[in-house]
Amino acid sequence: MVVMWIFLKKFYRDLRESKGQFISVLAVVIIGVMFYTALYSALEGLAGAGRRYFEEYRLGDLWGSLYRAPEEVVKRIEGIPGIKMVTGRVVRDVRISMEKRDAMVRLISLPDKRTKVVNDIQLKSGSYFSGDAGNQCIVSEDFFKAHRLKMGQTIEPIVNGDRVKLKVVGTAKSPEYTYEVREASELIPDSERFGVVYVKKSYLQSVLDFRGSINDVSALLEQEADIKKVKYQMEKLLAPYGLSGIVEKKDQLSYSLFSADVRSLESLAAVFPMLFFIASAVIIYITMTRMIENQRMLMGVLKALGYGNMDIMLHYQTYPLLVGILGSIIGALLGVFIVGEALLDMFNMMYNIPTGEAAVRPGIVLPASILALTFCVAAGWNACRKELNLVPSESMRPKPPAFGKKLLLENIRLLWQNINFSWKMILRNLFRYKKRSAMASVGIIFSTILLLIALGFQNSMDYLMHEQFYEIQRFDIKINLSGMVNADELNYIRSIDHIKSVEPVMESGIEIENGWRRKNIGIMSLNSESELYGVFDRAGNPVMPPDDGILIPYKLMNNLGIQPGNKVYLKFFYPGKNEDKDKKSVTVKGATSQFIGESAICSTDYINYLLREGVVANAAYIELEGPQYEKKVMERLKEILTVSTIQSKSEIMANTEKTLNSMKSIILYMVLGAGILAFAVIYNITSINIFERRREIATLSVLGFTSRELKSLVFNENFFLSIFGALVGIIPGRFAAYSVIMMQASDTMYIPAVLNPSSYFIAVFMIIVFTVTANLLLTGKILSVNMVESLKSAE
Amino acid sequence: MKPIIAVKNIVKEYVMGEVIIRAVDGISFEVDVGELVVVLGPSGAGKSTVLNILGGMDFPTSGEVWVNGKDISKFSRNELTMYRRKNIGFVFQFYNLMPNLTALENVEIAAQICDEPLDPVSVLKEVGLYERMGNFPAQLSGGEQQRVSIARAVAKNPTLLLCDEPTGALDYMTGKSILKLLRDVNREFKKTIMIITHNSPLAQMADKVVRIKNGKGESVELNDSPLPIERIEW
Repeated sequence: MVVMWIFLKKFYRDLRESKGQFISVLAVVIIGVMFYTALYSALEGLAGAGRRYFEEYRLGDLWGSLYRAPEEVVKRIEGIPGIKMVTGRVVRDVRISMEKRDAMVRLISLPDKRTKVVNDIQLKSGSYFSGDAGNQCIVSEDFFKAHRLKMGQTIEPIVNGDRVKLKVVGTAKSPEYTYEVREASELIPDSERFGVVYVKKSYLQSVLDFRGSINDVSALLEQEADIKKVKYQMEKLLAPYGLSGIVEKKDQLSYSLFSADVRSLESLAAVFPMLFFIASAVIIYITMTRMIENQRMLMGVLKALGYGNMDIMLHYQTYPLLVGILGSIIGALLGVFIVGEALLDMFNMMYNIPTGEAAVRPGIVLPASILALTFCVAAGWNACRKELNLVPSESMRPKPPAFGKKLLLENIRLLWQNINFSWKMILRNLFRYKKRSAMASVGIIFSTILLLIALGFQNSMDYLMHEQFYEIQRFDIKINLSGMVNADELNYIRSIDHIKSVEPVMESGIEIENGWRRKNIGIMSLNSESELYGVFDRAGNPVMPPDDGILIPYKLMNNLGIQPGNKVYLKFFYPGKNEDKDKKSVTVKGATSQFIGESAICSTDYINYLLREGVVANAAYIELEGPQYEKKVMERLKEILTVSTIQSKSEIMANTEKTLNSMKSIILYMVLGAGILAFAVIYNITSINIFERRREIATLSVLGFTSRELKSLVFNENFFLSIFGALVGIIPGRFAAYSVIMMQASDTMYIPAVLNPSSYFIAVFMIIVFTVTANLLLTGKILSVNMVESLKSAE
Repeated sequence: MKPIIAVKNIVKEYVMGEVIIRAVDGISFEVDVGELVVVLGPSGAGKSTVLNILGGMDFPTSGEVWVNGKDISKFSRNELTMYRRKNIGFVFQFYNLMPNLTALENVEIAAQICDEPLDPVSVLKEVGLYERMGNFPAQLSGGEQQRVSIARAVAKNPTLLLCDEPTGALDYMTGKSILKLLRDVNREFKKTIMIITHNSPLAQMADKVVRIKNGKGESVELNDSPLPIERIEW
């Protein structure tokens, strides 16, 4: 017991002397554990909660949107083998005038009396519909909050040209709208502009003149059901009613966006913490090894005194154990309650899922801690092992200096002669202790990789924003019309003041069939010389919507095995033309690159040719004479009855910026992490360097080297290592950044991997800044090398 | 002739918490140009402390240290660095060569920061290491390393050469050759040299012997007929 106490005292004093080092090693472990726990607990909070939520409220497996069908169609669908439950609904997007601003709401019918349905709601406050009054509504919670509604308040959407009064009796969330956006082209939810409102089915049917009918069907399938078969059956059944395609759950807007995000989190969670752990392992190994090497004499003395290997080993394991345990605890706490919490907040803002509270989950924290501890202890063990294998007399003798020999570089006489001494010493030092130098570089390389991943994300998002909103969506306003209109109707819109141009667009659902492979996507037909919507090929060159075929998204081409020039079958979900017999054979002219959504593209002439319906459009892009007219024009557009929805690009952009700002906080964490890593490595290595070379430094001081000259000797070595590490890290960094970003791609969203040349400079620059900072902090250590003391001993 | 060094009543105290140690307690002596001085005293007497002060590596707590007409006890840190750079050549007991530089480079690194250095190659020749110029310290024996160390100190062309137990780590024969070398440097280059040692017979080689005991100067003796090294036995 007395023995242990003395050892602990020694440990404590050793620790006090090298506080800075301890802190920097600790910092690295903390960050590794922190990222691990943050990402995994956010993932658990999001994904796990999400999945449970979807199940509990019966998120549909299949959706079908129709023109109009009699209610009893539901019974017939129930008869399809594999169907567990079907719900028929009436759904309509309408405009609504709120106090704050105008908005769109989606009216969705719910049974008059509460029953289990597919895509059920979670009542958050208030109550379900009651008794007699038909015009009750339950409003989505976010919309309710955004417009500061009160229970019992009346809202007045415009249905079929008339204002209707709906009394708010409750608020709800629904798994169908975890991501509350109207359509795929809107990147982020804006609860002020769009919300979901549930009304009594009977009421909606009467107000829309839809008695006994429905226009929306969703179904839950049995576990073992063959989804393709059921889908096929449903399509056949519903085709006569103007079916615009059956959507599978995986393609359903909010679900797919949600799972895409979950998947990207998963990929981040897989990559990031590992990088940090590996980096921390390396740093801990370097530090421990050298710290223990420096204790070599002491270890020899202890052995000579009669202490066994185990005793000594255990004593020296105290440091790694302490670092491991302390780092794990602090890292886990930070990870769960600070970073994890921030991530969950961001998700809460974007999704309507009840994510759990941030809590320490043993399933996540334990693996991280064990991993961290293992790395620490393994490093310490390995370092000790070498020294302990020596005979006591051997280790008490000072370590023989590394065998001196000339570097290969020296053979280049011209170069070598013109380098001054400091550099000769630095280069010899670097090359002689190759392992040491390499390990220091490794830390910098990792740091560079992390920086490049973070910068890559930033660059890619910026590029996406720019491409999407400046190159592709060049219009100022997009309107959807409540039905197919022909070209003349649009002239009316063209005549509105301050509108510069209007381009008709036809959007519809189609099914592409290539052999046995098929997929439901959208099709967009534009003017051949459309100026308000940019279409690009894979290489980024502009292409015209073809007159004699279609363009399809590149990813789809791969999935369906289509080559440019191939013919495929197209089935339209256009009322009256969606039978199999109406399938048309079209040529795929090439690929287009799309970031959001999946649409085939062709010219309006071509679609007219295919559909033989004359020039029709159900949407239009509008260009304004100037941004100042936006409000006025939108007001005018609202008065037009046939215009069902109005979208202003500036609003979407402003909203997107807002969300991207929260993305920025993640990127910031990454950069911070990279910074601390680089800093910790440099600080540690330099600190150990100075200690090991204190005799040299003292001698040079005696010789009369000024403190400035001494500092530059040590720090130049650091700069060399840092810049070397940064440069080496560029290639793996680029690879890593591209990989991580590519992993985020899904069917409906594709983020282009972009890394600007300037980012490389920024990364290297930041590494230099970290190096300089670490150096500045260590200035004191160099100066405090006591000449007299350092030169007295034999070692 | 005015003495090149005049140490006047220097005191050096070390404060370690509540304990105050007086390593040097009022020592005074003078040294003339070209003298070979041996500072003698048992272990812990304070000899190294005096040398360190003279070498500009430490400040006296009180007293004056005049070297070449300047009181270095009043120098700032930077001034002391310059002083060490230009005026002092130091030879250590444990050589303290740069392990990453060859013998020649070790001498060059000292020479290049001085105003009027001697040619490193010539100096190495003088100490008998011409053939080993390109070797690293790890490839040299103890005696050879000490020679390099001396060459390094001499090449600086300093006012004063200070040697702290230069033969402490060497065997008898090698030690003797080192001392002979120092003596030759003293006679041929006319360098003022101070050697610290606890080995009393060495006093016979000196021009002046300063004896220190318990931090106080015991005596300062002139030696009219210093003996050549070969004749001294211990």
